[in-house]
Amino acid sequence: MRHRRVARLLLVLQGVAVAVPVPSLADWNFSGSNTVRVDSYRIRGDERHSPYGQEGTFITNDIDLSLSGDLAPGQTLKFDFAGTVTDSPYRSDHTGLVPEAMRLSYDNATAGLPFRVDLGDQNVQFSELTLNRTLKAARLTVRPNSGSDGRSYWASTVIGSDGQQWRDFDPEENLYYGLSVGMQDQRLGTYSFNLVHHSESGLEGLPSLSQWAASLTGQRQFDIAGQDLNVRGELAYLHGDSAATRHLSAGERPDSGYGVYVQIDGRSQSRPVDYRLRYDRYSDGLGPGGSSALAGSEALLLEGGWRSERDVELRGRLQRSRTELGSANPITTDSAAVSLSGPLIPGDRQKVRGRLDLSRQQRESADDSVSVLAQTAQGSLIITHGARHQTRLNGAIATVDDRGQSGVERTTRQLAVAHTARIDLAGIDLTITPGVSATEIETEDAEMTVGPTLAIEATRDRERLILELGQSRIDAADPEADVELSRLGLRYEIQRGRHAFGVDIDRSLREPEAGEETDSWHAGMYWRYDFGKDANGVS
Amino acid sequence: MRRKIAALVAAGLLCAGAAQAQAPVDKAVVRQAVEQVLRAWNTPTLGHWLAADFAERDRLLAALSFDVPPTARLRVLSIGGIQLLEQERGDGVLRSLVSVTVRAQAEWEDLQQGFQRREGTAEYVLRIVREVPR
Repeated sequence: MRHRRVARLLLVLQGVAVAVPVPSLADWNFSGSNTVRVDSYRIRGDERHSPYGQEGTFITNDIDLSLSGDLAPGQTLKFDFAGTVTDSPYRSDHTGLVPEAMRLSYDNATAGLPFRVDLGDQNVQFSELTLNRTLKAARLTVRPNSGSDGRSYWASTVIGSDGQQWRDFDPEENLYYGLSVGMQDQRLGTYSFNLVHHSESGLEGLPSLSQWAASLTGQRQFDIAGQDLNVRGELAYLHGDSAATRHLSAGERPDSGYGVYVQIDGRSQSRPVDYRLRYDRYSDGLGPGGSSALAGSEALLLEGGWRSERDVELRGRLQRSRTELGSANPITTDSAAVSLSGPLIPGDRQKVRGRLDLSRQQRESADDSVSVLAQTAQGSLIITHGARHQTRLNGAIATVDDRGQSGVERTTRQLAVAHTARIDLAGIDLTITPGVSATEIETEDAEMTVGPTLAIEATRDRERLILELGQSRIDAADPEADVELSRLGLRYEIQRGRHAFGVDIDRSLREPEAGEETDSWHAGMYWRYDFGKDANGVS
Repeated sequence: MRRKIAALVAAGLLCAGAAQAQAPVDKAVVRQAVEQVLRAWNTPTLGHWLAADFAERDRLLAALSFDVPPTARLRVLSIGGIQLLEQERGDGVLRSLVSVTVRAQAEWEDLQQGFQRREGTAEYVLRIVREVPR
């Protein structure tokens, strides 16, 4: 019942906002586009192994538009819409008219109490631990005059729903309402208090959820010992149901939790060095619906970077995270990564550039039932031969070793080489990139995938053609499991004035050593019309 | 004009500044960015695209290392509504926070079960930074 009242309030707020005065048409800025597409999908052979789940021809009309105007000095009205009319299952779960994004914003900076109203799809960032989601919502933000230079205050209240589509919109399924108040001061920093209620209707086999999350945030910059430091943090408390413990029986579920993070970003004033230190801890009972914080976890991160005058950059990252802290068997993941990049010839920074990335991740449970180690080494070289030729080499080795199960180890080796040549052919800017790639996976069932690739891009004036070809063969330990794969992709677009016409063609051919082949085609055509950029051009 | 594109998970405090006129974001650039980021999925280069403050960055990269078949790649089926969430100017750049709804599927060859695909729709939040005249 309470949720129904809230939903009614949402509608009332919409009615109030729509009632603001509308400027004359000449004052509007108006832009957008309409795209009509026809796509056809065909499969021959074994349909189970096709990338396309459904054959047929489908029609789609995408439209997006943006309108904005100044009602008076300091008063701005803006409306955005994006949606489609389609019968394509590749475009939407729905058929017919599908509104995808709608937003109406009104900002009044000259009122006695400056305010802003946002209705529809919007990014609501109260704080990391309370509400940080893209919602379909109604939000009112006021900005009282502080009366002192360099200081501002705000208060923002929101009611909205997450994970929803405008078709079948049911705000009660996943509803937030909340309040954020704060202060920003050039000298003292930025501080806020946030309070958010979140409710979800019951999912299959899971009870409904109702929770309150409250937090205090702070952020301040310091200049200490030649270092520019930015310190920020948040302390949060949750009362009610946690999404993380929703599956437990009523007696086992904690009814409250806390969370905290502190982060220091720093930069040396005299050296090209930057660094970050961050600590997070979230108790089992913390699981705000509007946050990505992981309940029952703790993490410590240290990362830093250095860039020399010769454009050499070195970055490193260390993290230890512990999860499932409330269980008898918490899991610890240690991560370390380092990357080095820059020119390899001191006299010519662009001639040969290289990059090396090394990373190591180890995941272990307290009782050693989980013990997995992953290591990756990746290197790349870019060799530029004048203005028209470039060669790229990429190589990587990755190993994953499940120490809990003897003999379960996977080693992946990848190598790719490609050369790009740019040619001016009778006014056509032609780019040709032939290459070859190979991937070897060593497990109990080793396999090798190798094959050539070719990409051609031709552009002239307002025309563009892209052709991509690839072929590969998977050699498995069992010859019966060998597979040949071929793929083709073609994109062409021509623009004339406000009109653009295009064609997309994709083909995937799968030829297994044993069994039936699969030949899958997608062909699409479209016409896009761009609306005027200025209101005066709109008739 | 050079453009830098980086994925982002929004973090930080509520910014409640006065409204400013927003410059439209080139949708072709957004589509190109989505395709570049998704092409890097399950490759060692994905980390270069994730913002330093991407929530659960290390968990995502660990999950790809430990749990996803190494040859799995994403195919973009369709790119839906593109929405400009926020925009700010400063220091010769225009930073736009853009939300894009993408229908994509992971595809890989399984030696026992043949070709595999898993389809899903997700919202991606991109930070697009464009150099503008000061």
